[in-house]
Amino acid sequence: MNDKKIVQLFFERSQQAITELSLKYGKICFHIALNILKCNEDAEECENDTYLKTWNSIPPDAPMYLRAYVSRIVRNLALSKYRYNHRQMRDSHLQVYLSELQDCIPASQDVEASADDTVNRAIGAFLSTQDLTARALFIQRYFYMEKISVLSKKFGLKESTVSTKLNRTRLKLKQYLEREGIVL
Amino acid sequence: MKPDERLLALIGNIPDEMLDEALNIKKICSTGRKRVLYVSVAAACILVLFMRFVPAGQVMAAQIREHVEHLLEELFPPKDLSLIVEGIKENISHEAYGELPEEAQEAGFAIYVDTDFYEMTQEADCHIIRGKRMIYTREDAIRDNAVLLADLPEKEKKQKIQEIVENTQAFYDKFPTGEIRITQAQAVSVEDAASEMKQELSEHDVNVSDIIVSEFPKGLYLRAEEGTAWDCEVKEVYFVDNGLGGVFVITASYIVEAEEGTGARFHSMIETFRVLAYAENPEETLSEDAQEIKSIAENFVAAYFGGNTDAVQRYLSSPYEWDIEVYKGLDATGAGTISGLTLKGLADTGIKEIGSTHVISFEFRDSNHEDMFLYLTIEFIKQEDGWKIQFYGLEG
Repeated sequence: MNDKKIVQLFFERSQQAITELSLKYGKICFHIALNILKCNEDAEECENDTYLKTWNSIPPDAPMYLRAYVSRIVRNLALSKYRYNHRQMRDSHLQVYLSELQDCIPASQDVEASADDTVNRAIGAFLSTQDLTARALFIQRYFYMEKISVLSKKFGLKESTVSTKLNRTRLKLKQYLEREGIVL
Repeated sequence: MKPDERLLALIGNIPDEMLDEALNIKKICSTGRKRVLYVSVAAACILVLFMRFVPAGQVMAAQIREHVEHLLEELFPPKDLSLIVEGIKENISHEAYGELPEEAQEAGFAIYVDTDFYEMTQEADCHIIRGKRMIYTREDAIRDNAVLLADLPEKEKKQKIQEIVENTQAFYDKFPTGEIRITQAQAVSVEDAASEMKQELSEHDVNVSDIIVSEFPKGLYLRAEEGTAWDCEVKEVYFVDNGLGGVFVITASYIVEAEEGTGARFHSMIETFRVLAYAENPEETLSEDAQEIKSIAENFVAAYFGGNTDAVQRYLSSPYEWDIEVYKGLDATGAGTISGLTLKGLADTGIKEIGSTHVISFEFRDSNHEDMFLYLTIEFIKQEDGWKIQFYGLEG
């Protein structure tokens, strides 16, 4: 069933909306949650919470990209659950991602942090200037939390090439945020 | 929340269309693996016929840098090119793009591209280097309008900056970005291809120059101009022998107004164009300089991982501007067992002059961080007494 029809089912408050959503995007929701939580039970719980949250938000939301919409919900739920399960993220498998993202932190951090929507706009604008492969790699690594080995297979690139490309994109993002005066 | 955690969270707000596109990338990479086909002379001429610019957003393009990228990167590592843009000298970072020949009857090519401003795509049998969407930022607006903004009250200043950003962005989005098209024709000489192109262009309402010799790249060149107005189109066409009885045709298109900006950038990129012949093992053709770098790098890296600071220092340039470090691992867990050490970035660059630089890297794994490859990047400089290391550092 296409996304438009699934969204229509939500608007009609039909239970079939959840069934169709789980059939089409259940796997990816579980996969994203599992990448973050590394626990099948927790990931399954997040997947189910995603359906509930989607039910409560459509309507009034009417997302054009349903896959991206639910991916965002499950990611946020999984990260929240992760923070709840672990006091801080420092001693965790997410440390790998966090240490990579430290490359992107602009130098001037001793002033007031920029507002969320300012940072959001900057990240979006930066990514729009990158080539498709670099952008997709960055998003798959830091939004979908994919491993380097998985990205290597998906993109048909060597793991070294994936790592190098991600490294370059991170450094370019840092330079961009510094130029824009963004403080994290 | 710490900055890195905040960034991880805010990446969750990337626009939906980008998230969706990222998951579709597999299909794009799969369809992009087809080989470039040779085109006939007639088709090559049709491709470079005088066309109006089409804004990038209206052209269906599949960006391709897949399985050849890692090989190209090893043969032609990223480098800075010095050029004069709008009268100002700049050093701009470039990356290699191109196509490697897969058998002896094929010719490939490599060209350095300014990837900050340009993106590479392939449409049918044509490789295209096209300008990225230019983003006009707040910083740009503040820099360009410093006098106007100086005396404004804070609230008005913010509104003015926003207005300038929106108006300038709208202008940029309408401004033709120019492009370079690279095609290849079989069974035609460089002279014949140039003559036929000149004749073809002359049949349209444009001024076409004589065909002259080009040094960089080596071949023939002609120029066609639509007129002298600021938005009239200029085409510069290069014809390069592909070494197999055929020809590469490189066409740079931009408007008159952009000659000193886009035109200069295009010249700089096109000058780096190289024809690649088929070789079973490209790394067997190392130059003398590459062999010396390889030897020094292997000794250096043994000292670096061995924790021998004195030995490391022997290979460094003098004075060395950075801290002299040896490998101690990525974090408090310390260094694990190192494996998979592989040298990358040696290219057959021919003879390098004194003062030239060259960057290589060693890829390796540390058993304490098995999830990732690590890279020791080393920048060499050629001095009177041989190659020395002027910078080295770890990348994860």
